[in-house]
Amino acid sequence: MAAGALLALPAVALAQEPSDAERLQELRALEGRLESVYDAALRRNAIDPALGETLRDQEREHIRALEQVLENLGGAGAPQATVPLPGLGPALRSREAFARFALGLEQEATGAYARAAPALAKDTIRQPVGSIMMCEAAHVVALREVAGIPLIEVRR
Amino acid sequence: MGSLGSLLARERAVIAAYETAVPVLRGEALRVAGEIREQELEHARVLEGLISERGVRPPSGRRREDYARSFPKLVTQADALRFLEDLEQRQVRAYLTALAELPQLEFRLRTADIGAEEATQLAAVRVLAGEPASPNPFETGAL
Repeated sequence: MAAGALLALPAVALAQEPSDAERLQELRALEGRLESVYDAALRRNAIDPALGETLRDQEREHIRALEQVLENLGGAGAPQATVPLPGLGPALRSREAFARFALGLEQEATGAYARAAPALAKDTIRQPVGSIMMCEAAHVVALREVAGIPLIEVRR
Repeated sequence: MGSLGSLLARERAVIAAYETAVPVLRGEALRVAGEIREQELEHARVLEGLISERGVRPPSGRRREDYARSFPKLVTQADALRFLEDLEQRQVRAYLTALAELPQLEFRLRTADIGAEEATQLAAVRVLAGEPASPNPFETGAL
């Protein structure tokens, strides 16, 4: 597009909200990161195997569901490349350290879903995406228990 | 305001339920239930604020004894945790429904935050009952 044509676009077009597909792609990337983190923890025995497999397998279910919705929206797009996560190495040295590390990622994911699900234009996908948010919130509690952190965080 | 009023009515009933459960709860369960009750009070305040910001008077709650009449008799801690888990399942479902049905984005954003906290409460009650926090990949709650 020529520079002149770009300048002619109305401001609203330049500040466009992300599409539903773009929002879901971001969530898909977060899920991929969580899946690989639990995989790494399982390989290094940094998480109880039963809990780690449950959490990893649930993230895989989320990925499958998001990819299905993306496909229905007109194409899943290329999966985003995963980059090494800063802090993962030291977190794999103990189960408590890993729980605290994964807790941060799960809180971030829950927050991302809480921002994305309500903003989806297609109202029929808000509820299924919301049900993943609820699951990520439950993961937060599972990890708090392992980390020895109070199960409920009251904002005072 | 209908849906927000309905969510508010649910929050008030759940607050009353936690108060009803207190006499049979002990130790960690009692402590966590107290924290969940505090969160529920905050949820009710947020919902009241959203309703009144629009110039509508939030519906008034029922008396504690009126709620208590509709609750099952709780004899043991296990009874109480089963009852609270059931209520939290319904809360999760109600907030998921709101996510789909509320027409205003601002309301959906605020209630999604509350819904996520309801899911942590459901998971915490499960843990207190000796169950896994996250048994399902899709937490849909229950009607």
